[in-house]
Amino acid sequence: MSGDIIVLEDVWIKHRGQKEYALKGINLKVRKGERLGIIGPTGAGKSTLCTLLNGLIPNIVKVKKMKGNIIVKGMNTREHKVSEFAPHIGIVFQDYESQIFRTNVEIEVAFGPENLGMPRDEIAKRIKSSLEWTRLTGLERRYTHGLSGGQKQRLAIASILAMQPEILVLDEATSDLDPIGKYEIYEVVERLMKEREMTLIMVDHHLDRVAEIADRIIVLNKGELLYDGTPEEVFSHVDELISMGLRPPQVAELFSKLGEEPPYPLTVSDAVSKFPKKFKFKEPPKPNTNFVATDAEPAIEIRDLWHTYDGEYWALKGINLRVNKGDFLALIGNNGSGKTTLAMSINGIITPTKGSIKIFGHEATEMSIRQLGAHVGYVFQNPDFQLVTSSVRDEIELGLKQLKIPRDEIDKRVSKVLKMLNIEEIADEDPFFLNKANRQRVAVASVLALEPEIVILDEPTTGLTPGETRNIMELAKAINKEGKTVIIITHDMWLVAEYTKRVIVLKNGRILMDGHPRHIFAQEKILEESFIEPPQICRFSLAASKYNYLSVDELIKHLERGE
Amino acid sequence: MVQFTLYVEKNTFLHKLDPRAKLIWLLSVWIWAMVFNNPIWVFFIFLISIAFGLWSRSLGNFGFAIYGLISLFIMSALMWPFFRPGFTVIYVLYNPLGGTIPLHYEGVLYGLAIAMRLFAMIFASLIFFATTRIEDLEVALTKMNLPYGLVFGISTIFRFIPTMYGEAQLISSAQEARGVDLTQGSLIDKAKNAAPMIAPLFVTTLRRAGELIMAVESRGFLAREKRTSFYEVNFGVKDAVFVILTLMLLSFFVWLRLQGYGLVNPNYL
Repeated sequence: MSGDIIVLEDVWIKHRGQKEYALKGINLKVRKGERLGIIGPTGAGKSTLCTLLNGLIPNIVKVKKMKGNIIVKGMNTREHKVSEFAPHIGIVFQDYESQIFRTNVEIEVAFGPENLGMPRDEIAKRIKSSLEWTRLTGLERRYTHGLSGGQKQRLAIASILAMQPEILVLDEATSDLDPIGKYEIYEVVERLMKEREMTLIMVDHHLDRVAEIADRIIVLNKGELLYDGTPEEVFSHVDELISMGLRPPQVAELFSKLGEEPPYPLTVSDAVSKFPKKFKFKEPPKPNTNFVATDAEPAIEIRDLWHTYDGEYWALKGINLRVNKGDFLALIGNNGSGKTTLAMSINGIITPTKGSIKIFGHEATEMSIRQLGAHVGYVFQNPDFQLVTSSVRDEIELGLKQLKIPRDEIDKRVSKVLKMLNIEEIADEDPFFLNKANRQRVAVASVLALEPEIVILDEPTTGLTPGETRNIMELAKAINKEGKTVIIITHDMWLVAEYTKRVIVLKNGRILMDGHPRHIFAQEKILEESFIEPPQICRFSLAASKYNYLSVDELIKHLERGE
Repeated sequence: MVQFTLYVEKNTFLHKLDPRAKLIWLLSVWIWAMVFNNPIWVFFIFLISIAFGLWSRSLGNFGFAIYGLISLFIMSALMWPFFRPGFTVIYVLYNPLGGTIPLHYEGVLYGLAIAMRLFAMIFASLIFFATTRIEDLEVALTKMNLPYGLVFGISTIFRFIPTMYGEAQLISSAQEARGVDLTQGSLIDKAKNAAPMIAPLFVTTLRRAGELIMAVESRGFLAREKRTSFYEVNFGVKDAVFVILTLMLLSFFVWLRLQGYGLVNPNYL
């Protein structure tokens, strides 16, 4: 018996209804105590691999074809029930809603230990510690359905930690957390790994984080194991990873683009000390701060806006905001800071408790969602909320038909957005069977077809790979160029830095900061208080120079080769 | 988002009662309401269930049901007289298809009684769910030797009602923002417009169901012969006393009925 806690021997998996194999001959051994990062683009087979580890495939999820064996703690997953693996391996999935099946927080955490037949006082102890680890202490008796998305995701993690598994699998399990929230979860995991011998397997698109935590990374692409090695080894292939649609740590990308020799640095401090002295930094362009101009046409004017859901807790506490026509604005802030409440007030889904919102001069609080819909398009985080018909084309036409727009105009607009979003070839497919990135695009298309002057994107990129995220953002940039006002809510700071022209930081229902990303991301200390971490390239440039560059390319453009 | 909950944690006698005792009480109230068909007597039973609602301080949660209850009341008060004739004709309606339909005094009262019955029964059920945490009910039902898999399935449905309710609201907002009008038009138009709401709800639920099974299994579902329950449910003295009083009242009401009290039409239940 070697130290291998997980062994995959030539594993081939083909899902039902699929022509291609999802995994093609994977061989993998994971040692006890290892921290393994699994990365790869959408459809690479990462989630399939995770669901193999406790026997969900083939015992619960039936597949068309399966070859090879998976041996976890010496047990072949074909020969044991999933519940037999539960004490040893815990998996947290991305969709928190389907991982919560109890009505209050403490009994949710108790569910796993209850199933394992633990004594009541032991369960009480585990509830206490798991909630502490995930910063949920004090919410023991809260109804689970009343929690925010971020809290629900923490709860899903707490519930698995309460089972104290020897192997912890986090499959995109922190996707809805703010940057510091993610950091905290991984910090807890690290601490637990030190206290007891735990093995960690994580799937995450945030490769900065993976690089920091993992001691080994495997890269999957189209079901094949492409690279396997230490973070330094794997991130030597920066160009290949970027062309797969992944986003390696920005400092590694920088060193690679400067033609330095691998291994590339992966952390800010490492990059600062290794950065070649021959380069001099030039000043980046002064940010355009047109948005403060009071002579421009305002699209949205918000005055003293307050909102409460339950009459006790105020989600918004006196917001004053003027957004000019043609702004490209990011709303950022920690989970529960009021971002979504503010955005939903603008399109009328929420009627604010107090205050005034003017959309192109008209009082929005007195207009119906339908009336506002003509001016403000809203793309939800979950595309399924918007998709109702059985073909992409019908979906885009639906809103236009409701507005009684003439047929030829409908056709014109449909073909325009189909082209814009590059979804012409799937125009006649059923949205239900598309992957999430494409469903998100269809949802965006159906909103854009209505040609609203203001477009709000509410975390449109959650669960998408950086490549897919870039596509959505390029699109947002294009419609902004057409003169539309774009507001995006997101936890992805790099896209805020690269794409938006103005950043509003919300904290506890108030506006904490408002300014150009170049200014905002220079305030590391203040941002940290609102659980936001600037992009790695900003942190690097602030540490290495007196400037703040917003992207790798911008930084390189402003480098001068000295003597 | 507006949240929808029936169960609210409170510290009343009814909240602290063993779910099994409350189940017996619930069944008894149903029977109490069934034994009489004189509207005044049934109204008295309805008042008893209201009293329980006041006692458990749970009446405030039923606001959402009020329109449904009122339309149910009107429907049954209007319909039943035609199906349960009596003895004293008070009015004769002309049937457009030919002939006449007599309306009886006892029939009208019977209709009122049935409407009142439904009120009492629904209120008692609402009180039951407003005072019983679903996990406690789960423990109680397993103690009654029902298989845990089945009990868990039922309680999971309850867990997702508020979630689906919240999502339905979001979806209808999303549709309205695209110009789909959900409030105007005839009943048929409204039904037609409901389709764009139900489809996404169905899709979301369907996607979730598959993932839910994976999550439940991963948490060791049915891993051991015997599972612990973190919340204790014990049938104590107060539960026994409560059940005995309930059953005594039940026997008394049945005895009254057998004596011929509380009836407008002894031919029907």
